[in-house]
Amino acid sequence: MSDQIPELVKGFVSGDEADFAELIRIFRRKIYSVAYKFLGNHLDADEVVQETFVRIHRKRKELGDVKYFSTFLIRIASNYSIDLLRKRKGHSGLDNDTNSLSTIDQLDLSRRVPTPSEEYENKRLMTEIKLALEQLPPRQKLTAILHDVEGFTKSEVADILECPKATVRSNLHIARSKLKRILKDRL
Amino acid sequence: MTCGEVQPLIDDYADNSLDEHKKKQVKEHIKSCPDCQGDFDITVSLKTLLRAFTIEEPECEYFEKATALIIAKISGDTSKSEEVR
Repeated sequence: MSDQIPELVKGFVSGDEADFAELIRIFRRKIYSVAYKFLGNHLDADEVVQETFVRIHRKRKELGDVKYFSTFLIRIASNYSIDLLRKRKGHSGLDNDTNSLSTIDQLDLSRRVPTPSEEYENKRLMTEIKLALEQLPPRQKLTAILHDVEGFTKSEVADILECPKATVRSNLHIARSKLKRILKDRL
Repeated sequence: MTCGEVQPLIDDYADNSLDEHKKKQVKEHIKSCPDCQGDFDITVSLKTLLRAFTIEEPECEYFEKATALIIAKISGDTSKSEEVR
């Protein structure tokens, strides 16, 4: 699949909307995943997904200079997510669905079935990780999510966040130190 | 290497992003230092935990609808810019 991407980007830059639709299909889950893990709720993640692709469509002519489409796309998503977090800061108690285990099921209530204890324990763990990440400042949180959760390299994170690699290393180190303290009972 | 020299390198060592020479030095030190070994183990444990962090993704239907909405918004943008011309 990754072999197709340069050709699809070329087609998209030349105005091929079918190629753009295919790029959406390839990257939409990754964008949703990063946004959800950063913002903590479906509605905001949805907004990031839509806005990211609308923005990249508008920036189509700039893509000729872009070496890596995927990191450019994640950059747009990350910047928009940070802006959204700042906007929502005053409403975090209402909009964020981190505080309840049951909210993880709310995407499709028809699938709610009695949960075995291991599944419950796993959900509990996921909530703990989510809450731990919530306690980090935005840039540290995003660095930890991009590198340690999503698996981007430090060079890719530096490209996404438009900062030196040394800054990525530093933010990652600080984020990990804090997470180790918060999650010490799980380590 | 001393603990003071190894400590700042533990993250990079855990990420396998040290050059071969430094990697070897850190590895040698950790083998004989329980404190640094402990720090390394906790770092690896944290990385494993975070890598396992998943969310419950929406059904495929959501992604199809979101894609259709994006394409509709872009068509709206395109029509507007054509009108302006």
